[in-house]
Amino acid sequence: MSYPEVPVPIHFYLWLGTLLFCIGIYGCLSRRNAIAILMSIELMFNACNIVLVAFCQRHGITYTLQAFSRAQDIESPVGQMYAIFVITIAAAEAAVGLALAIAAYRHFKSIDMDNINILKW
Amino acid sequence: MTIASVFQDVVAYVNWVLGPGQPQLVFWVLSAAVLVSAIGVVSSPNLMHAAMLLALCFVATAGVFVLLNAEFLAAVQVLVYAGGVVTLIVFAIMLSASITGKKAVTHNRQSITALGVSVMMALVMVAILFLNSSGQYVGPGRWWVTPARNDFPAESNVQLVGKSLMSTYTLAFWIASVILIIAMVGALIIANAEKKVPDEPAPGAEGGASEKRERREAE
Repeated sequence: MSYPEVPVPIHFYLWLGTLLFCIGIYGCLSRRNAIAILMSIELMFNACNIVLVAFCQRHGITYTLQAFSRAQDIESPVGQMYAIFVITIAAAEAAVGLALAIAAYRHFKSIDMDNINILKW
Repeated sequence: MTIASVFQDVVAYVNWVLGPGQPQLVFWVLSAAVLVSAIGVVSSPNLMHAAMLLALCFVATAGVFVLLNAEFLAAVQVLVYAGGVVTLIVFAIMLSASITGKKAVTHNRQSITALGVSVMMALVMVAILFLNSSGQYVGPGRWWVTPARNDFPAESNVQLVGKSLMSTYTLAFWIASVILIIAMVGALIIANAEKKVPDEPAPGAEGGASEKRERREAE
C-alpha cells in the first residue's frame, strides 16, 4: 500500500488565507473589547502574510538589479520580504494600539468599544 | 478483510504519515489548527483564552511558513508574534479589565451583520481568486497558467533573506527601524499621558521596549 507524494498546491494556501481573513473581519466587526479587535486585526495580518509567502514560493525568486553598482543581480524572495515588513508594522501597530487601549481604559474605565462613542455624531 | 490486513494498512498509513515528504498532510493539520484557533479567538468569551488561542494560531502559521520554504519568516513569526505581541496583549488584558470569571457580553449587537459581511467578503474573495471572467469556477487551474518556479537555492533561506534585506530593501529596512522607534516612543507617551495613577508603572513603555528588543533579536 503506497501513497503518492503530493506537494501542496497554491490554492490551498489561498483558501486558508481567505478564510482566515474573513474570520478576522468577523471578529473585528463583532467584538466589543478593544483588545479583542486588535487580536482580530492580527489575524488578518496573518492571512495576508500566508498569501504573500505562498505566492513567493509559487513564483520563486525575483532577480532585481543592484541599485548602485549594477554589477550583479540580487536574488530576493519578494513575498517573504513583504511579509517581514508586514510583521514589523504589525508589531508597531500592536504596541501603539495597546497603549491607546490602556489610555482609553484609564479615561473611560472600560475598553468597551460600544461605550467609547464621543466622536459619534 | 482480516484483522491482519487492517493492521498492515494501519502500519502502512502510520509509516506514510510519519515518513518524509508528506507536505499535504502537514498542511491539513496546520491549517485546521490555524482556522480552529482563529475561530476560537473571535468567539471566545474569555479574553485570556482568546490570547492563548491567538498564540496557537501564530505558531501554526509559523509551521505553514516552514512548509512554504520560509524558515526565517517562521522564526520571526514565533519570536515577534508568539513571543512579543501575545505577551503584550496578555499584559494589556491583565492591566485593563478584570474580565476573567465574569460572564460579560463580549459581542455587540451587530454579530449577525458582521457574519453577513464576513461571508460576503469571503464570496467576493473566492470569486476574485477562483472564478474566471464569465463566472465559471476554474479553481486551481487559474494558478497553473504559469508554471511554478520554485527556484530557491540550496543555501539557507536566512542567507537569502539577509542578503536581499541588506541590498535591495535597505531603504525599507531603515524606514521600518525608524517606524519602530517612533511607535515605541509614541506608545510610551500615549500610555503615560495621564498622571492620575503615579505608582502604577507605565505598561505601554515596557511593552514597546520589549517589542523593540524582540524585534532586534529577530533581526
